[in-house]
Amino acid sequence: MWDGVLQGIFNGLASGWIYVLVALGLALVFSILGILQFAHGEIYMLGAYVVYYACVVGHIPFLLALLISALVMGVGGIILERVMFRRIRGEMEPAILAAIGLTLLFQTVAVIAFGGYTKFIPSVFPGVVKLGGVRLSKDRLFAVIMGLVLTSALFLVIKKTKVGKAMLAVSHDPEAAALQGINVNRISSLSMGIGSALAAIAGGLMGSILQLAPHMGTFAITKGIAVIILGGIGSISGAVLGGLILGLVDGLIPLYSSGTMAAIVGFCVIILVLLVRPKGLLGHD
Amino acid sequence: MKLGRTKGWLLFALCVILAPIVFRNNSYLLIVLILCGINVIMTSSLRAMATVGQMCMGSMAFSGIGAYTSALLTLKAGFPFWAAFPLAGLVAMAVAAIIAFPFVRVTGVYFAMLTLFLGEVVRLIIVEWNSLTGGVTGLTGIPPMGAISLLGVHVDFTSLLPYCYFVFFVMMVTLIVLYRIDRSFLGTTLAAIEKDEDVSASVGINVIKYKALLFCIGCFFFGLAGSLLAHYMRILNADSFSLFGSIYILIYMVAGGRKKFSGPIVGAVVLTLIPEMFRVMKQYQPLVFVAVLFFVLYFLRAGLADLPDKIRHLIKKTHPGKAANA
Amino acid sequence: MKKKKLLVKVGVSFFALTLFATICLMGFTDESDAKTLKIGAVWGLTGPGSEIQIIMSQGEELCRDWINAKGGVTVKGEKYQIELITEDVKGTPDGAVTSANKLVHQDKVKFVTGLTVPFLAEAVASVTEPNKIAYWASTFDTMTPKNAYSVSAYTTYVSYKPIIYDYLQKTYPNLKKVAMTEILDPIVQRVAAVGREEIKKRGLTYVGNVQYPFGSQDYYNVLNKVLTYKPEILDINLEWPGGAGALAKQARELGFNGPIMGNSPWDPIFVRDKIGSKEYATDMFFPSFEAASAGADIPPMAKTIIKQWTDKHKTPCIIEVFRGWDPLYTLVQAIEAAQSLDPTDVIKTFEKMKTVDTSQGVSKIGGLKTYGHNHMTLQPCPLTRLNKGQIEFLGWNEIVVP
Repeated sequence: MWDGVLQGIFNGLASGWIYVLVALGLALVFSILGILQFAHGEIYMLGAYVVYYACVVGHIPFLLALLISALVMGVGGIILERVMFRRIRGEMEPAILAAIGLTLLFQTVAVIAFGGYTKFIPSVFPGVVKLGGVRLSKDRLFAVIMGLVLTSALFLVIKKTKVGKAMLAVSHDPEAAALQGINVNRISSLSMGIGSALAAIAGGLMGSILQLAPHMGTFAITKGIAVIILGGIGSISGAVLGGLILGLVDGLIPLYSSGTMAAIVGFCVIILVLLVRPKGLLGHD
Repeated sequence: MKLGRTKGWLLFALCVILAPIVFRNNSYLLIVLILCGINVIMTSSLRAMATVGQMCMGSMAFSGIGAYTSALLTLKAGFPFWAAFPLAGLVAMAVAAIIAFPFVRVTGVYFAMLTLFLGEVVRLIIVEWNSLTGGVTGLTGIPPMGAISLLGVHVDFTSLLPYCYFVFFVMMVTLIVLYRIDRSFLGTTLAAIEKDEDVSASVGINVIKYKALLFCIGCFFFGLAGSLLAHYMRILNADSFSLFGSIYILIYMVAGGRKKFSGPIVGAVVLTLIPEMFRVMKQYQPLVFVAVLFFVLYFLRAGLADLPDKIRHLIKKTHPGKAANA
Repeated sequence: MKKKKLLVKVGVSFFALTLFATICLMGFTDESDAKTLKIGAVWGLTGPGSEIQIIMSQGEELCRDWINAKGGVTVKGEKYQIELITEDVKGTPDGAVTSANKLVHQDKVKFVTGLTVPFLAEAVASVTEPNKIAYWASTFDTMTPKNAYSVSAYTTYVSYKPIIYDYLQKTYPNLKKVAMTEILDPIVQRVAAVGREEIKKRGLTYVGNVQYPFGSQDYYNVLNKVLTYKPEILDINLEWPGGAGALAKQARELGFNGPIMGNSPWDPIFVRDKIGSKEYATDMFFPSFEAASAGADIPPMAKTIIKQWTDKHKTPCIIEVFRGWDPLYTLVQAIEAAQSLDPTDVIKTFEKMKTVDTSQGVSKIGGLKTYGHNHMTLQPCPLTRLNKGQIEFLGWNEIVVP
């Protein structure tokens, strides 16, 4: 009955951090632009492919490739914000049109441009770490470390820097923030940029642990939305908590039931949270 | 304006009656018409739910419930179609009723997320409950509608032409019912709720009750639509009722325009026809679809149904002198 | 004011008329040219898994170009150029039914090819069978005399199981306990069920399985559970190309050192590279051969296909190209053997043919006793093994389906 539980916990926590990375970007965009950016999963996917092309075709070291991808997708996010999302801030219906349109566009382009021969990023840190009967691959450990580092970095930026405090102000009340002299448009662009960069890094990490596929974004966006709803929109610690809880559910429930049941349980938990406390476990706003 | 609206409806009714006959020899076009009809039913129901500001992102779940109910009743329990069909709607509505009250208390984007996850849960249950639904293998050999003999007239609904008329008949009934709701006192109440929930509540409108009612009515029609889908395809599996399906219906509504009653109709018809018309583009076809979505986003924010008004507006702008003279 | 209203009415009517006309035009078919043979093709060009099906459809187009370049199809002295009409089934049963209807009723084809997913192939067959249209599916699993007009151009994956289990018992005679991982997909479920029959037949021990949804990115949780059954052998059944290497790598990372058996024709180079390290890429075997290179005992037709593909597309030729090539190739052989463009004649001729040439060599045709009619193309089954990071081709095996 307890067989595999320890491994399951480790697996869960490790995957959880990748969910967190995806969710952070999504949460940022939602807090500041007020729209649920469905195409976030596609940015994750494109980020993974950028890392692939940089790393495998361009022979650039993995870490540098991650950075390049973050920059490229960050800029991409800023452009999207300028061209598309700025004018529909806070409005749900046009946001759906825009996000779904982008999703279809990116998926179609990805299939045509990248499709066919399946691509993967070779392991940067091959091998396993054995710890008391539990085995964790080194690239997953690396993903966990990246998750911790980036989350802490974001947290510090928001709490300590002027820009971060401006972002906090805009997420609470854009009009009041504007009255205080904060350039809401600039903050809006910056959030999309940072959010997209985070998604790109998550995609690159996932691409090296597993493999790339033009449709890998669907998985990311479903998990990302689940995490921020569970944890609470507008809260970084909420995203972390939500990500780890969902990761644990995915890691442990399959041991006692099936993978489908794990997904059902996970979603039911979220539905309950939404019914009882829509703001999420640690949300404010 | 009123005259224009009646003319519009007459034109629509004319198309509905004539189109199947015109295309009676081409099964493919009849299927496209059937798909249009089913999508119109679903999109209009979605709009009905949306009139109180509830964006449902899990609508295909209820179609799925209706489809599987109807399929299982006719396939495994030997029910005739005419019994299974209304039951499909009723079962979907029953499920909706159970969850309606807790669900509609939640508003805005949270409601959308709630229904999105509900849709996924239903789909996963269909996959997991192998013994009932056939799981991933799905159901095959679902019986067709069968034939009826009425006053000496024998109609076999297995063939596509009568089936198409049946779908259109259900569609017209759905539209009439939803239109009446929209224009009635109920409709005014709902509009008030959408404008400002708190004010409405303060004048004694039981907001929750109306929201729940609309949710159930919408899901009833989704159930019926699911049954129609099952009996023309004759083959079912959970893939037809995925998240993307629900999102497409939402897109049809948003692209068509939520404000006007005709919005979802225009949206559903145009966006069902586009992938079919551009089949020759094969894997590039979604790009045309995307182009239409972006066109609406940038130029026709109120939706495709707004196109005539927009054209009128543009003409007014270019001929201001004439406007003054009129 | 009146003029403006008129203008608006004209504008709207024009728009409506254009829409209506376009719809009507959809209903028009060209007068068929006496010198072309229209053949329909159904593939999932959009939706999940589309990247692979696009390659299959391109493989089929490659076959069409090759046949047309040689003069086309010759029937009763007349040469016909093939006109291939490819439709996107969008990966759903309703898409399959709609596409099949278009091909049959609008384009009026007499022959349809395509699809490797049995559930969708059945959806297409539900349209082609009543209309007596011959359907050459790339894989068709539920063969019965009721699908009188459907043919499987590629042996179903089910037929590989005995060959794989033969090799297992020969090479690892002391290992008995088998566990399985299976995707929640109709064909994988069938293959796994047949696998369990093989295990029982051979006196092996079945210790359990784990099922997971298609498109699962992370196998750690699946493998964690399966390894709690303490298997000696892992049967990973069918997986899409990206999954096999990932499954094997993660299984080894979690400490599994026994043999891993696969069921799909994955590119061995890809699988080995995905696994990454020599210690992990070992004791794994699956029914495939290296299509990307020209090594190891490749049949002549395969060599032709590889050359055609690399000349045209300049990318590695993968096994999916063959899946697209075979339905059209075997169909044309049947048509020329029958010397008739009537589907009934062609099907009847095919049933009596002893062999047909395919991408993987000369194949027998079988299925009479098992399915009630001879509609199964029994392509020889290749077997490849990964041994300490090396790719070893183990040869071709004849498939027997009586």
